[in-house]
Amino acid sequence: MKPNALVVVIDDDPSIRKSLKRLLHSRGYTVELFNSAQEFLRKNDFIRSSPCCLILDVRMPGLDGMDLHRELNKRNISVPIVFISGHGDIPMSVKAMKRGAVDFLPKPFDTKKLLEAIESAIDKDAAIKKSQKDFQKIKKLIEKLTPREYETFRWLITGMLNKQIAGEMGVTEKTIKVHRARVMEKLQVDSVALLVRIADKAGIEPAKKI
Amino acid sequence: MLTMLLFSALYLASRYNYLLFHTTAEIFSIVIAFSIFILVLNIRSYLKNHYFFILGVAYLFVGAVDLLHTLAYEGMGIFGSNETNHATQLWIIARYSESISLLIALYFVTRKTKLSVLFAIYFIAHAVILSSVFIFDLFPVCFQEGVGLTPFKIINEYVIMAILGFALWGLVRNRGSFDRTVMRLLAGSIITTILAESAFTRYVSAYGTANMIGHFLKILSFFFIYKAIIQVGIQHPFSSFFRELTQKEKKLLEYQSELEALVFERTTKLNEAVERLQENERRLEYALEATTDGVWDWNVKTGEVYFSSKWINSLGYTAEEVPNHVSFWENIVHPDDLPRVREALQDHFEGRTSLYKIENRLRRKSGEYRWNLDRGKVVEWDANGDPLRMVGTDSDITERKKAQEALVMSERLLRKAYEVANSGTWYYDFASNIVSWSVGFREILGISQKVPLTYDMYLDLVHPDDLEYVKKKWQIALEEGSYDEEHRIIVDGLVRWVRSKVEIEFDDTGVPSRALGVTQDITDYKISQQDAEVLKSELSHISRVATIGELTAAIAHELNQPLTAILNNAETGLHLLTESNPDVKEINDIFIDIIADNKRASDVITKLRNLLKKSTTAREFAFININELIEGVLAILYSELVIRNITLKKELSDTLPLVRGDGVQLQQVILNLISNALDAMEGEPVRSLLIYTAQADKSNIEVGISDTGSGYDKEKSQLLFTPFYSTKRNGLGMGLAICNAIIKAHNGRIGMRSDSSKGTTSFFTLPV
Repeated sequence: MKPNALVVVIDDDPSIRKSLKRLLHSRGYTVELFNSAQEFLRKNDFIRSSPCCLILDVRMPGLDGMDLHRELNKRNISVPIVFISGHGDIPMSVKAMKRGAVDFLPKPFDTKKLLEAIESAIDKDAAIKKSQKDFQKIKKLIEKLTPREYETFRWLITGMLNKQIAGEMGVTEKTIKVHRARVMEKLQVDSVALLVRIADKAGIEPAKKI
Repeated sequence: MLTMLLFSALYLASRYNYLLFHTTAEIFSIVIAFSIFILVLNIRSYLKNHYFFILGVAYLFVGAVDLLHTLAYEGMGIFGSNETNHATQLWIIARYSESISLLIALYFVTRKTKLSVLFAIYFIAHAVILSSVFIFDLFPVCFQEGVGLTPFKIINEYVIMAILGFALWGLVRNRGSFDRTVMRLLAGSIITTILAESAFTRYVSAYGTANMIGHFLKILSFFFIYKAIIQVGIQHPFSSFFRELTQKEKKLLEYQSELEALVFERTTKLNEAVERLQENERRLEYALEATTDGVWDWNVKTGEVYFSSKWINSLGYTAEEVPNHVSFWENIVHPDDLPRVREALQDHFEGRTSLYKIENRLRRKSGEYRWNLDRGKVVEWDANGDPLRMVGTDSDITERKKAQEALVMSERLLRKAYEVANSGTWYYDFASNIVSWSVGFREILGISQKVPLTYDMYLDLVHPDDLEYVKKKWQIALEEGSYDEEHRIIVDGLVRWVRSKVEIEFDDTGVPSRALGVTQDITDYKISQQDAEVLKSELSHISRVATIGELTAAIAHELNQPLTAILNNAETGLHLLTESNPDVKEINDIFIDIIADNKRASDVITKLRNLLKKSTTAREFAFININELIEGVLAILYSELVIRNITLKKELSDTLPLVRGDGVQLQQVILNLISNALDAMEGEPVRSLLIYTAQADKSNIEVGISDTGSGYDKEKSQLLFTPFYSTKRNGLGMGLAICNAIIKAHNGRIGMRSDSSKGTTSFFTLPV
């Protein structure tokens, strides 16, 4: 269990909301309750800060669970969702899973299963949130490189020798050695292998021979 | 002339000796008086007028008294002293007798009497009065010597004159009964007597002049009477007879004219009768003409027949073509009918029938047959009792035969119709209390044709449980004029249902006179109706189950919600209990919530079960709050609304009265109408459902369900509530039909309307 993990419950049935809040509290989660999808759409910034997940009722008056899922994807708001449904059917659950739902639980569900789904969702969210953080950091380091250094970086990750890179870039081998040292310093790595990993994370393609 | 000589002789005698004069004069009148009697006695048989009988007898006695008077007269010396008084008394008596007789005689002008009786009466009367003079000396004094006449005498002379006056007056009044001459003589006699009396009131001496004139007048008076009777009985013995004859003749003429009038009257009557007779004859002729098609007259011995021209023409022949012989007739009688006709004739000839009468067919000239009514009678027989002459008529009854056949056919058809419909007709006569039933109805009742039926007998057949009802219906019918009802009867121990439709006829005073009825055995129908009732209930149930079946997802959802909450709460509770220091208050709250959710789940199940419950065929009507029913249905439908994303609006009036009804059935209607509304909004951008209840009018409440769906085809709105009509692809078409049946059974109305271009409102009303 992740400390400060947040579970957001969206259900139009007050009994369900109340019982879920009580259950999740007892397991140490922070719980936020919403009685409609529209309400959640108006106010959802808090989910970015800490690992969290949504427990979403499929059928609700107004905007229903499936609609909300689509809307969140559209708005690029990434949060793991556990669907709960009073009368769910298989085609609906398949559709939900395809769109990236963590789980689809028909009411009345086994509490253990719900808790497992929540835990895995929160883990997932925690991981996503961590990788997002790493990416931001690498991006900032890469932004510090000069264009010449950035080009050298792209040639370095091809795995070519300095002499070859110098030939490709039309400079001396000595100049390449200086750039290489600067890139390694700025990106805080000590091997080409690590450079490759950063490039991979940042989505930077290796340079190509003309 | 003789009279003049007589009076001259008497006058001379009076100059010589008054006594001589008086005696002679009196005797003269006495002779006349007696002559009158003798005369009357001899001619009494001719005298029709008995007036003269009285005179005859009266003058005998008057003469007798006058004789005594003459003998007692002053100077005669026969009765000694006081001669003049006696003579005067006797004179008064004679005049009374004379005058009273003249008066009494009037009485017998028109009446009859006998001489012997008269004689006896006069004799006794005169014996009594004379004895009062001579023996008892009771008669008042009339003359005193030296004084003259007493006042008594004078007064009585006036009284006598008055009586004579009356007699004269009476005579004049009866003048019709007397001959003119006789009448004059009688009147003359009375008048001269009156004059004589007036002379006798005046004299002082019995030998005076007045006395003498009086006696002259008296003789004259007597003579007149005598003359009258001579006139009546001898001189004109037949004038009075002729007179009577004339009178009889006159009477006869009167009778004759009366007779003539009578004859005239009779003749007139006779003429009228003859006219009437002729009229009747003519009428009979016309009637024969109109009702028959000919007359025949048959000489049975010779076979010769007179056929009337009408008879001949009616068969299409001319007179020349028809021989006057019975063989012609035999020839045209239908061969199949001939034996029957012969038999009928034989029966009549041998006296077994008083009239020959038969319906047979006769061939026309054209070859076709007509139906004929042949009637006849033998009018002459010979000595052996064999028929000689027979007369009869023929009538074309083809049309009647056809009509008869048509009637028989129509009766058979009617009978068949009653048979097929298990019906019978009857009518009831109030006056006689007799019911006349058609055969069909007796079959229904299982009562033979022979037994006469009364209304009470029918009541005996009625099922005891229905008896009061039938009687009540009958009473109502007597006031309202008709009824149409169903009840049970027991026939041979089996219960049968009948339907009776009755109309009552009233007389002019509004009193029921007759009842006409049709009664139908509807037992089979009743059985099938009960079966249908069961089937309908089954169908209704199936429809309900089907409707609910469509809602299973929503119902499951409705149950899953509380179950989920319960599970969550229970898990939490268990988890809390594993902690070292469990939060007891929290655990308590958990239990409270679990119980609440449990109740919520069981409510759903109860409501569901109520909806799915199979209602019995008998309607279970109870007082119902319609809003509660609606909430009950909505509790089950809530999730369905959510699933279908439909907004619900409720406008339930909270001032509605309770209504009587079957809750399950009414919920089915509400459920069905809502379900239809939800289906109508499938795929519509705006989905909004409105449920309202309201007071429709004083005696009805209304429940309505409005949707924003696709609306309905108004042209087919009539069909919506009929069975097997559906606008849904997989619809059975029973939903609204069942709703319709249920609401009708509640005496309500169900319908649909479109208030705006979009959507439908379906509604029903229920009586309060």
